[in-house]
Amino acid sequence: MLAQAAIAFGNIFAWPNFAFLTLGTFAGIVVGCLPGLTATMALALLVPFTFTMPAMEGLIMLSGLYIGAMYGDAIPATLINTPGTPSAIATTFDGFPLAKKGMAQHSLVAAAFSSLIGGLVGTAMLLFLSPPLAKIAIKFGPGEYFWMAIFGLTIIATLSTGSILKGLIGGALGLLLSTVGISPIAGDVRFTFGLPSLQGGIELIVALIGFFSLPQVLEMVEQYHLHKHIGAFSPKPGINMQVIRELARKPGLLLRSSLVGTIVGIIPGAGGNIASLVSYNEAVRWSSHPEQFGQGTIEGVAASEAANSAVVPGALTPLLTLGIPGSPAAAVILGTLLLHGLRPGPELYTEFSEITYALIFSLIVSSGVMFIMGLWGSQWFARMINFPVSFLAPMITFLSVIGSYAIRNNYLDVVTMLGFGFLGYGSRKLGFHPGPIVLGLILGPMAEQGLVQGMIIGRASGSILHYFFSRPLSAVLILLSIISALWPFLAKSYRRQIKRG
Amino acid sequence: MRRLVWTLLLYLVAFSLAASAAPFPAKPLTYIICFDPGGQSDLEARRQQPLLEELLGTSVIVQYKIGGGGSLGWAELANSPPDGCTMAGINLPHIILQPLLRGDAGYSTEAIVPLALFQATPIGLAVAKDSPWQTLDDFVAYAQDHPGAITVGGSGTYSGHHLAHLQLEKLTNTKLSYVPFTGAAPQVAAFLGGHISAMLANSNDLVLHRDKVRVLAFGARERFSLLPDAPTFLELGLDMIPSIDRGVGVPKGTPLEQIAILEQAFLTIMERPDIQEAMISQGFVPLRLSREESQRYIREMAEEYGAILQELNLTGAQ
Amino acid sequence: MFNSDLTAASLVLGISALAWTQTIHFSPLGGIFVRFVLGVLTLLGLVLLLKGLWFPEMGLWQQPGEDFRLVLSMGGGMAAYLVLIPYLGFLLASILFFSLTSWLLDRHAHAEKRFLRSCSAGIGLTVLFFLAFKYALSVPLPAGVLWG
Repeated sequence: MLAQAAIAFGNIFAWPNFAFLTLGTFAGIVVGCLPGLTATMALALLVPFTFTMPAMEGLIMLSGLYIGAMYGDAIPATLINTPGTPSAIATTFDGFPLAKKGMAQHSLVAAAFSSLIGGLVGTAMLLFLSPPLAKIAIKFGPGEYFWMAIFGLTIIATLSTGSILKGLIGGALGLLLSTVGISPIAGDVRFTFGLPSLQGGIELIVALIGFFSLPQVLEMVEQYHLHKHIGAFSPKPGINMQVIRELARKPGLLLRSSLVGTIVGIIPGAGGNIASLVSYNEAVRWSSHPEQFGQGTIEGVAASEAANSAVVPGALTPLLTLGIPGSPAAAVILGTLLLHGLRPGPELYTEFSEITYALIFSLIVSSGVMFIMGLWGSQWFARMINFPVSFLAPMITFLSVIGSYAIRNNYLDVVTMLGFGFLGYGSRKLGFHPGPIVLGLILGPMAEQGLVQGMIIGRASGSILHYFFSRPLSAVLILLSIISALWPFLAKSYRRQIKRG
Repeated sequence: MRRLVWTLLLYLVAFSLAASAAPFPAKPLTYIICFDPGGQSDLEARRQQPLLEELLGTSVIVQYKIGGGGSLGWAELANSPPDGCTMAGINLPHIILQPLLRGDAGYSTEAIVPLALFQATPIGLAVAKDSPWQTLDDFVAYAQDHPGAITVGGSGTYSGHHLAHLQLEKLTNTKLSYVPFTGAAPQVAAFLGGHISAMLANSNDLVLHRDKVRVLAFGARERFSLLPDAPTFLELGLDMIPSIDRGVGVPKGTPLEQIAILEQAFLTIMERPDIQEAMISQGFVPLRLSREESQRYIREMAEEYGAILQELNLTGAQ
Repeated sequence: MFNSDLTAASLVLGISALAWTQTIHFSPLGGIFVRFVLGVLTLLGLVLLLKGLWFPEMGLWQQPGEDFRLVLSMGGGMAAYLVLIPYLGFLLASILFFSLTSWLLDRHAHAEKRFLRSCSAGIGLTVLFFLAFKYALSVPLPAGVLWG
């Protein structure tokens, strides 16, 4: 194993592999930066190029791209409050407030550093614990997915700033929005109002751009008489080291976020978006100063970014051992493996170990390359905040149109995006945060499929209730959901007791 | 100065004439893919992309139009100008079933002219390696004794898998519980985890997981080289050949000479032994049906499926 | 005077009512989740309505800033932009939208400078990004009737 590792490392740094890795990482950061361009799409775009190169070079480049994108999405999340990919939703919660305070670079450095840690921790687990961890992937059946979605919904309490009631309403609205289109289970045509274009349902990225970026533009315009800029950034030396030192003092936060990311990445039905939201929620829960979250703390950014970067090796875990991709982007990597005649399973670790270890170690190396690029680039990206609003406002609108069109080449998506933009602006005025709505949209399909598939299986086995409540993993998830839902009250009484003595 | 203007004008005229007289295809071609990147339709298009560019002498741009189980992309194809510059990957039985079942799917089966069908994915019925059912007979016997107790996973509702399930129920006179999943990955994950007792899966997934599954019956005319132990449904006396077929189509009204050029390009690619071998090793059956053969095949399938749906009283249900 | 709770509650109940009318023809398995969610949504909407009626002082409307007219024109500009794209094509519509909104916002500059700045930014940045997306990243952009 050690000898193989040394050979694999040697291969990665050999010409031209390292050049491909660097290029892939850079391209990943660019793609991650641009809302509407996803890592999955960029990976697919590269697949034909990998035909002409040996399997190893191609896979190294793909892993660089995937890692790069998971950092790149933090850049627009920080600067313009728009997640570059759905995995950066939770990054916006603290990244943008930081930027407003003139601390955009702090947020970007925190993102780069925690992405590095997330990538390293996840890869270590992929390397040493693959076979037992991959079993988690298949432990999840319909019932478990349903309860996991319920657990995910308990995050609403953290996401809804102000009124929990409005947060719950937002979540329910998101769940309702997720049912638009052809029903995945029963084939019903739902809420399309006669438009065939709506049969595809509401694309998450379109909703994200609509709910996050356009309301931000309108808010910028509304505040224009007060602020001609989003924030002011002036580069100061020493920010990089200061942020890294501060985060290094919180190993618990980084480790917990990376573990959450890896585990969620392993589960095939859940990806980076859920990982970062769950991780953010746990960061708030375990923090000694939860009130700072949402006001701009690098801990919030770190929690989200460490988790979504750990998803990459997590998603590869069941892929390499079982042939089950843990995320849509991993599915593209599976396709590339198959096109090169490599079949996931034990053979990958024996017959093709050279390629497999090169793929695994390239995750580590590209995390390092990404970190250096991110660190160096942060002061330049952060300067974007100094553009006057009179340029930024039309610019963001313009990019929103490109992003929402690019995802499926459907002009109705652009119109939907604008509709969500106005809705999002109006609902902010009414005290709704876009977080719960988006959470509902993400978890809706998981909850519905889990519920209906579980009902069919339960009916076949005799009792639906028995199926949903008696399985061990389901029981754990139910317990977690209850604790999570009651946590705010438990924490309050705990603090009261501490006060008493 | 005046001479310069004249020369430029001449160039312009000559250029536009040359452009109009240039052999088809003079413009880049758009290849619409209706399913996720990394999915089989996408990977096949990616495999063909460089070869098509070489054969046709123009660039081919793969464009994703995902949603509605493919209907969004096919509606886009049906509504695009019939100039031979837009084509889309097509899947059977999807393009037959959707217009029949949804009322308005955004396109009709006749609005798409197939250029060629190049790949079949037979559907097999599989159980886990450690399952007590050794043969289809064991499976059917259990199902007849315990109606509805066996859960069978498949991809989608009213899809190729679902229809295979309905056919199987009818031919064996059993009642099974069909559990629809949203794609191959979640379906196989649920199967390997033991959450469903059997699955109807595509041949490539069966080949990929061949160490962990036992294929009780396989949807092809003859046995498949990579799954030699799997008998066909026909061998077992069930008159069904469930399969998902892939090809490529253009909008109705595209001039015949342009169709012929594109059709020839795809057929030439399918003649290559390296492409055929690659397909087989991944668990696909290479096809090489020309436009006329494909049209005839689609017509036959449409009649067959129409009859099945009518029997189940499903047409225009929504 | 608006009350945000009452406004939101009536909107939510309106949406639920509209959605309920659509669920009539859903099949049992296709409708169970929708009906469940709609039930919860309607219930929460009623709770919000009651809260708004009982404690009207809690649901204060966030006053729009004094530049609300600017917000309205920006929103109108966005809508017009989306209407124009299918006719003018993405590039022309974007140049128009960018230059106009930039001019509208940059109102404290001198007339001449304001015009020059917004036009050059509108044309320069739009063309730059257009080329980058269309050719470097080969991202498809919406085409228009007049000009693709």
